[in-house]
Amino acid sequence: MSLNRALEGAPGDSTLRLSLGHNYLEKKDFAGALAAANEVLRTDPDNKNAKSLKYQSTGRVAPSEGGSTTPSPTRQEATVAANTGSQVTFTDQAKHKPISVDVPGAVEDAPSPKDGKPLPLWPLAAPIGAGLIGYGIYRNQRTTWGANEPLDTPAELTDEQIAGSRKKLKFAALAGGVLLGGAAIATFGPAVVTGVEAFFLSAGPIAGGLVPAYASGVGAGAAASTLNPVTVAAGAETLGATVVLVGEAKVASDYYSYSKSRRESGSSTQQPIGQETGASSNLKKPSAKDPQLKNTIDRLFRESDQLRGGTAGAVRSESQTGLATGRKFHAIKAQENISNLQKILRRTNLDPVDRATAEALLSDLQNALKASVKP
Amino acid sequence: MNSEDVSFQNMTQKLLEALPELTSYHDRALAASENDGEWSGQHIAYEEVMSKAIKEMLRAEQPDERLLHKIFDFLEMLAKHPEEHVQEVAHNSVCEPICSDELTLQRARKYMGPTTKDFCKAIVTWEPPAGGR
Repeated sequence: MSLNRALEGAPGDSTLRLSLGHNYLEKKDFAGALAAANEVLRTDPDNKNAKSLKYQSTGRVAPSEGGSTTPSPTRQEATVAANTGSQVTFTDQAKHKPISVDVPGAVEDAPSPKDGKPLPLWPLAAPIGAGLIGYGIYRNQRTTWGANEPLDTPAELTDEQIAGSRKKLKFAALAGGVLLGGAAIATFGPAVVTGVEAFFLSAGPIAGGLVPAYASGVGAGAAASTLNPVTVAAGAETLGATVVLVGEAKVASDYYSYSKSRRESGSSTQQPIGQETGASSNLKKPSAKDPQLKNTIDRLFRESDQLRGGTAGAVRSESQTGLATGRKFHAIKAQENISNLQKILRRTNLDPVDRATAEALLSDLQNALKASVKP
Repeated sequence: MNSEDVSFQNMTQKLLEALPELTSYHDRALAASENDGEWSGQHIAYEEVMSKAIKEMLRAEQPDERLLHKIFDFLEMLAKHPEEHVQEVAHNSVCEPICSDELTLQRARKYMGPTTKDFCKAIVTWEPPAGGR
């Protein structure tokens, strides 16, 4: 090769060596390309072209290494002779002189247990992040469409509380996914560049949703399987951990979404919440900023309550069974707290969220008392 | 004070007559709990004044034993009162908040009369009837 001959005359010429490295790269002789890049970086650590070449060739395996018995012409000149884990020794056949080059990432990156060739860590972040974003889009669409299914008997919550909770859950899912992804990378080893390509290929035709998130993981895994089973494990573990975390967040989020949809539909097609069962209220102890409302809530709900719905739940149970809660009935207490809540609601300076909470409590107590006086 | 002097209608007024030491608790609680300076009912007044005063005193390093005995004697009188609604106030708005807190219950036990203890036992051991939740 003319470049080799030119380099014999000017071994320190980084432009010539990089050209040689790019020739190796084109012929998929990644080891040769890496050696050329490292040789340049040894004398010029900031050389951008060398860094780029190093990145493109790091961790990739030439098809000829996978089974071909005919090495490329370039490999006849620079062949891997020994791999000691942190260093790869090449024999430059033109000079018959061994050249030792550092394997990038051999110390700082987790090495592949199979063949010791390290792979870049950062590409896995792209499919994970993109998958989570896709899932976030899916969640948003699902909420907008109102496709929420009942999961459990939820609490009555205000719009603001629901929106706030959902935001927190989404943030927790994203942050948790990234953290789990990082942990999986650290545990199982690096990912592959092709995983990123797989994501874009799979996500392209399907606009935003769980499918691209899933496909990105599968694509990354499938692409990785052609190179190293450890990367498949890393991809699968990361995807699995992420899906589990997001799934849990989704269940919690659906809980709040369902609460909202149930309340909204209750105003038109269903009975008000707490009245539908006739047996007990679904209200759980809410929170409030207003000290007077907070006091009222503390009176209505005790930590040791055996019934849902606090005092309203007790009134419902008493009217249904005819038996006292503890040793006494609670209707008078409920009536007094209705008066107290009405006083609180007459205030003009009540926070909107607290107002909604007070209205829900008032409605629940009134419904419980109405049920108790029915014949 | 005899139970004949107390009725559901006047029981907050009688509380302060029998236990003037609670007047400061009463005034503070009324200002914090109600907008118009009037209690919305006896349950609210008793929970805000009597049960909170008891809790606060029992948490003190050196509780006022004399006052605590006096308060629990008055509570026992309410628990045995012939009027059912008066008993309900003692049960729902004084015994329930005290008994729902294990530490308070533990410390309060020695001051309680038999009917008050009976209320607390019923509250602590109560379970929803079959069919309820």
